[in-house]
Amino acid sequence: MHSLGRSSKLISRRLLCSRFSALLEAATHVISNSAGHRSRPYFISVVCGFPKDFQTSNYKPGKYGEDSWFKTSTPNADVLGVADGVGGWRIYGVDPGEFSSFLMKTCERLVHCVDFNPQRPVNLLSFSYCELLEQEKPIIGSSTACVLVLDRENSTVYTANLGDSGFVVVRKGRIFHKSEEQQHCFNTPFQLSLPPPGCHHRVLSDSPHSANTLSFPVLVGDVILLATDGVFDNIPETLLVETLKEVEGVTDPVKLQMAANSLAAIARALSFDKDFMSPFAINARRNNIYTTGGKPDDITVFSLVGQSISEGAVGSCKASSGIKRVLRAFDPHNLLFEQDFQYYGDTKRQSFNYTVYISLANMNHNLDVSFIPCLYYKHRDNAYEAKIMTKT
Amino acid sequence: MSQSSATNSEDGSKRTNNESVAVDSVIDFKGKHFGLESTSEDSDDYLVSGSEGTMIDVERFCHADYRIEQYAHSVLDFSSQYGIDLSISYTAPNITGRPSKYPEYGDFPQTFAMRTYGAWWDRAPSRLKEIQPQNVSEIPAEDFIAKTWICLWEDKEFYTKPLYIPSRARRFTPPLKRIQLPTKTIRLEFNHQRLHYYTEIDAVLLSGKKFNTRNMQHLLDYYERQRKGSILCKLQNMKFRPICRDNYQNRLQHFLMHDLDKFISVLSDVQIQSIQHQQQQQVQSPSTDEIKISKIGLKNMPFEIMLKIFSYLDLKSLFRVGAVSRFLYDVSTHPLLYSELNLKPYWHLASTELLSTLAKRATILKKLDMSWCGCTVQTISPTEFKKFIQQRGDSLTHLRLNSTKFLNASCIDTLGIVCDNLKELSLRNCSPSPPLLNFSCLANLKNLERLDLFQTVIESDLLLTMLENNPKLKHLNLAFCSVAVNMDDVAQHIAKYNKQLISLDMWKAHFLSAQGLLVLSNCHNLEEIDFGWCLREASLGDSLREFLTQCTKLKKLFLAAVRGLTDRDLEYIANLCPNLEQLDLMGVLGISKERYIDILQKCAKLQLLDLCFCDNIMDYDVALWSRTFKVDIKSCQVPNDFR
Repeated sequence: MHSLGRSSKLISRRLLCSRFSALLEAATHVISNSAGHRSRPYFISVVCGFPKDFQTSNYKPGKYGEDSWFKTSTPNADVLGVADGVGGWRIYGVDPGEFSSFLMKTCERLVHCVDFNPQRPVNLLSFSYCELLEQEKPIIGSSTACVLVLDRENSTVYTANLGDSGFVVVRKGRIFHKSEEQQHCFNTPFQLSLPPPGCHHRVLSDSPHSANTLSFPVLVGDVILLATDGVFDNIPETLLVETLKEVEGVTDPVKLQMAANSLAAIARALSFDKDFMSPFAINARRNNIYTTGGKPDDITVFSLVGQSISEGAVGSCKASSGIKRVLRAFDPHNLLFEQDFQYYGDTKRQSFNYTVYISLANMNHNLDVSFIPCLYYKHRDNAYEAKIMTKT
Repeated sequence: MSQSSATNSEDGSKRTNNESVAVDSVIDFKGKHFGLESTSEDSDDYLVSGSEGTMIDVERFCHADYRIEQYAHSVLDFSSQYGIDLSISYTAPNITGRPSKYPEYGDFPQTFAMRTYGAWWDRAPSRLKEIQPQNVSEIPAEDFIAKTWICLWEDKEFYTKPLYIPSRARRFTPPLKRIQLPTKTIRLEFNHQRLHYYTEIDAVLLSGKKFNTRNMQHLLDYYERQRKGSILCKLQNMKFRPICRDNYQNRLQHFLMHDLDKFISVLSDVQIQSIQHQQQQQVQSPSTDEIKISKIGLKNMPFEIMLKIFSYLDLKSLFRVGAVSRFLYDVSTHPLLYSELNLKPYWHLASTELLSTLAKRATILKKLDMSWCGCTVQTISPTEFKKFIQQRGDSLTHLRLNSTKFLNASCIDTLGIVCDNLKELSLRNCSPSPPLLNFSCLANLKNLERLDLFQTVIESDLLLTMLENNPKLKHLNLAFCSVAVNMDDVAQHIAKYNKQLISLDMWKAHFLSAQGLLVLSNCHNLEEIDFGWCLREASLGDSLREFLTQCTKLKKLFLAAVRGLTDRDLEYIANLCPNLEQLDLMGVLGISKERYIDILQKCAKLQLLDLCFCDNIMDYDVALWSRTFKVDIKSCQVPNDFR
């Protein structure tokens, strides 16, 4: 792991010199408030990621470089998705992130439409793709996509996966489900695409309906990792499982966030390691391409833990325990930095839905990336002050 | 005090004469409150504004403690939108909830945009003539008890005031009329006549005072008393109380019979005297003839002249004038006055009773416009409409039933059977909630010259039969027509049977391919064509050239978002369309600048050129071109940063 240490320093330095307003999105914690006293499943979900190149990409919520992600929930479902824009479009003067970002944003909006069916995530992808065709401003590019929906009615996860993004489900220390990569040939995944006029014949374009679909019942404590190929190409499966089984059944989003952070950091570190025999390199050799080392790419990691709650007193207890959590998360690691908190309360739904964006722009000490604490959520009524300081 | 603000919206809200530009949408504010932490959970919040004026009772019931702001909860109905039905881009439901994009400025699919802008559609060959021209403009609010609509605001100076549209997101907050009634439904009518380009609306916010639901019963009782009938209601409100003596009826009769003429002549004498006073210098002695003439009142006019005078009155005035006297009633109920009927401005008044009254008077009805009637509240029953059509439908030549909600299958059946003289049939946005309307009897119609099926679900086979049966068809609108229709087949049928076609609108009608375009070149009379969002192929090949060579009369050519257009195609447009007046090339990529200049130079009659989202064009190019060529060039400079 010494390579990790080395590269984490590198990352910290990059953090310092880059002008990101934020790097990490903390957990969105959604508690369904629909009526009924039976227990209903939900996901504790956290996301973390890095763009491949900090210099060229601007930070936007929901994006890491060319990767995009969304998560949202309705009373009936938790929905998450990642999309990886194909970088090759840059030479056409097209921002590859725009396509994936639009795809994910549209998915998010579609989830809140009346006729959203949690059991058909493929429809989500295909409707979203159709919306792309309806834009006045032509959006050009292509993207892989993976959407995962938890249907609360029957505690089943429905997924649709197109291309080489994917998910891993870990139950009792073993891989329970894993998505399949869809590739035309090595390093050429299936993709949704909208080519510019005049080069249709040169561009791969797959129908959203060619996405792999999978559904499986989810139990309390299951850990699901939803990530782009930047993770799967760089972290060996065994290492993935080892990290993920640590967080099986956790209820504390902070711990989960730390796991996600460390996965993202590991992936980032390994992707720049020239000597490491990454899964990508192994695959390449299978295809008679001699290479070693990781594959530098944008990285997006979603970690989810299945939980279920019985309706009733949950809302208030979650809200009140917010501050304690934050302090606990800070203390052990003896960090010193200031953070700007911004609260984005979503009052459209009457559920608790907190997203906190943390700015690391003011950070003035190197720190170990794997320990960046990041989850602070709080009901907006008793929102606390925006700055939290901890000392060495 | 209540205010409605449509964020990012255009400040023009007036009903217009022309259907193609008038757009309305009815928005429902359900009892969801966002701005306030409220204590009441389930009960709906009705909006109440403080009152000034006569009805003081209400104020006592209203709690005026705090203001409440509500965003639109749902869209009940709308007459036009830019996006297709299944989509979530540019569609009407985007207006609900909090603003998603305000205060950003640009083009956002998360907003609600409407189909038209400016007066361009009125200048196209397919423009409509208004039936019975009248003008009403309002934003009425629905009062939930009496089920009537009240106008909250209208722009009276719409055509006179100078229009300045800044390039930024705007909040439009008209000063609304104060109303006494709680409301949760408002209807917005937009006039697009003076819009520069598509305007997108993000959200609608209604703010007012919270109405205390506990006092609802009092209010209900109050309005129940009010509802007893319009005459009784008026009498209650009237301050005038006649002094009742014994035989007052006879006195009134006596006055009407004997004294009224004298009264009028006295009045006219006074007028004459004043005129004399003015003319005193010129004419010294008034001749007796003049006084004789002055005694001729409205009553003495010949019937024909009365008819002529009355023909300038709108429907409301006609009904009112009929209440004056028996003679005026006779004149005002003459069938000639009702040969054209436009109920669209009175959509909020249209009811079953009105229809049965009109059925008695309009014995030679030729043109009927019932657009928007009975749209949210079922004031017109399908059976009554059927009866009306059965009585008066046989001579009908023009029928517009845009956005009507009372139509059911049997209504359409009756239409098809009775109205066989129809020349114009307009069924815009007419798909009721059970989507499959049985239109099959429409196949009986043989004389159609204009068929408008904008946003209406129709079966493919029926459409083809109708095209086959109506060889005189001149104007056909199939924009947003159902996805199930294969437009290539339609194009083939048009080419075979409807060669006189002048205008064809296939906006966002999917599945029209280059092949269909090629076939359409058989319609040599085409002057207006709208292929926006059709022709999704990578390349059109030679079909556009073939089409343009054959159809030389083209005045309007819309090729919005036909992404397969190339430099070559634009060369054809420049060389083969000398009469072109309007050209839409929105969202076409990869065209070189020279081609645009070429078009501007060669199409001398060009007035409108839409180049939004086209690349390779700079701002100063556009400014220069529109100056040199005197062409209105649309180009939206949207910031790169779209998300």
